[in-house]
Amino acid sequence: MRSKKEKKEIFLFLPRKKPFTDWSKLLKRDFKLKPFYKSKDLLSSLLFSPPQAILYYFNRERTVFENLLQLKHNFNLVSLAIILVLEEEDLERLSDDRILSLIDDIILTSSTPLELKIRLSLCLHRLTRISDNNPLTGLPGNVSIELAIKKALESEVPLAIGYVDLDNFKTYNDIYGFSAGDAVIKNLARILQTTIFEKTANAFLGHIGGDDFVFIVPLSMAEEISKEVIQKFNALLPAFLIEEDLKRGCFIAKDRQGVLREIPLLSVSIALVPITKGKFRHPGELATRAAQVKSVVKKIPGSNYFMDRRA
Amino acid sequence: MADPSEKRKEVKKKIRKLEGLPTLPPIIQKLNALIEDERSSLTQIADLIEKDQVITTKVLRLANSAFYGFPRKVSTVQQAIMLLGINVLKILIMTSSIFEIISKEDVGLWEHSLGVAACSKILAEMKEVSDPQEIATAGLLHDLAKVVQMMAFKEDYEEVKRKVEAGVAPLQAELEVFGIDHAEMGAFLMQQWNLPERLIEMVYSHHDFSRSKKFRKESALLHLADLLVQARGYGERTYVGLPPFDPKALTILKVDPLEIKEIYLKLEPKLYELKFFTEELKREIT
Repeated sequence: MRSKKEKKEIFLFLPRKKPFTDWSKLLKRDFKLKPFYKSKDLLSSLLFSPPQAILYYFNRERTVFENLLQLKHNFNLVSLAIILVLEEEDLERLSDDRILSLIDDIILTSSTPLELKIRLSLCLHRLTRISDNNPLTGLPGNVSIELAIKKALESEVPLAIGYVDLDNFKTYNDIYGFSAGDAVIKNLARILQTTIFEKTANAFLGHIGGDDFVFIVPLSMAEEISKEVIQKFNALLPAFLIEEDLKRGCFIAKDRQGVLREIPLLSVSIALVPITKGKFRHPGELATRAAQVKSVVKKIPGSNYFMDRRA
Repeated sequence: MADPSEKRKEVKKKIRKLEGLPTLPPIIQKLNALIEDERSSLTQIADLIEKDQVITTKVLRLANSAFYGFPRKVSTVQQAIMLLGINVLKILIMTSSIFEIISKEDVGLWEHSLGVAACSKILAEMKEVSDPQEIATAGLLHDLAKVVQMMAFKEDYEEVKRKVEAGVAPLQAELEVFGIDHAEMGAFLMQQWNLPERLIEMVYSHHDFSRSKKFRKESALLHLADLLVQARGYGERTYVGLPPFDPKALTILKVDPLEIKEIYLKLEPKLYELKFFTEELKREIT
């Protein structure tokens, strides 16, 4: 069941006439619409409670349009979709590259309501991808992760959240350089993606940033998945190491005190926290628990997973 | 008579939905002129914004809005406009609404707020309380709820005035009419708008600093500043005599009664300066 709150909010700055009235009728079912007729109200609401998207009739008040672009530009509001609504003859006036770089889509007034609805949804999906996904791995980022975790806390099916990170990644980066480090991250992402989704479609994988990932899977599969990820990672590891390090079985690098010493090779740690409905009231509680489990698993040398067995 | 606890709920509900507050028309005119003038500096613009509790709140609210990923600790106009930039500031001012009907007497509220802001700053500097500019901001905003009352509860606001004229103590009159006093009402609004904690607590406890928890010294300071400005007879007078004062404020702040004279000596030239500004506002309103 979909609650009202989940509906995405769309601002409308359209004349009060056809075909716009028909458009609203259809959009109303899937979106929370907020029509504006005064430019001042529109801008003020844009500032203090920005929506997901705005349908803006191009012929209306050009200075307001300028301000709208300004806001988007100044605040780097990638997540606000501006969709210009125009008459066919206005297309010619739309050659300004600056405008084109700031708006997200256009729709002609001759479009049918259904066409508009699909265009709008496409635009919003595209934006979520661009604004949240990690540029390196293409995986959902922190906004999506938070949503997924919130949803998971309410799940009727027992789930497990896995926090994945690499041990000694900083040392690897220092010795091999950032682009090699990026390659390791990308490939860890691939291993996670394929392993998880080969087993179940009921899963989520996100990239927090750097070498930190998070996944959510059914509890019954969590250990199996973790084992497999570790196994694949260890199997692939030699591809990322030079002969010398591989033979020696460790890195030689300066530690925090500046003293040369042996530092273990890259390994992957997975902290698993089971969640059943009502166990954690909010994501913060889960995060605290996850941090504890993570510190346990990080203390065990090599690639490991650890499942939190506490209630 | 309406049930005050019911009214209290209604007031809070209305405040939650409040999109913004109007200010005095000449302030917006002046700000627009200043912003359009390319020679104006950000400091000049900040100085003018700091003379109006409504625009100040707007600027702080935007700069503390989590949506834009700003840190939620911006407590002065200077910091806020550096984060927002002049283009956004222009739009912000453009979208500000003004009181359609306003009388010269209403400027008294602005006068009082400015006086308290100036006095708070002086006290903060004398008593070495951190960030005097933030303390001044709290002084400026302390009666913000009265603007809310003027705008959103016009009839009730008149009712409070009538009660005060009939001899009811102002805070008591507010409780009878609204079920909530202006200090709590202002703090509640500031909370809705994500303003910094220190400002909220100071406003919340400016008539009763036993309400303060973390910022006792700051709250005592605002309590004293409010009294000193009222006693000086500067700006709006809600009290025939003096507002209730808790002398513990002096102990907390370590203010010697003899020091009061020194405070007034420092305050007087500031008030004189501000008078020019507010008299101009009054002239432009008619």
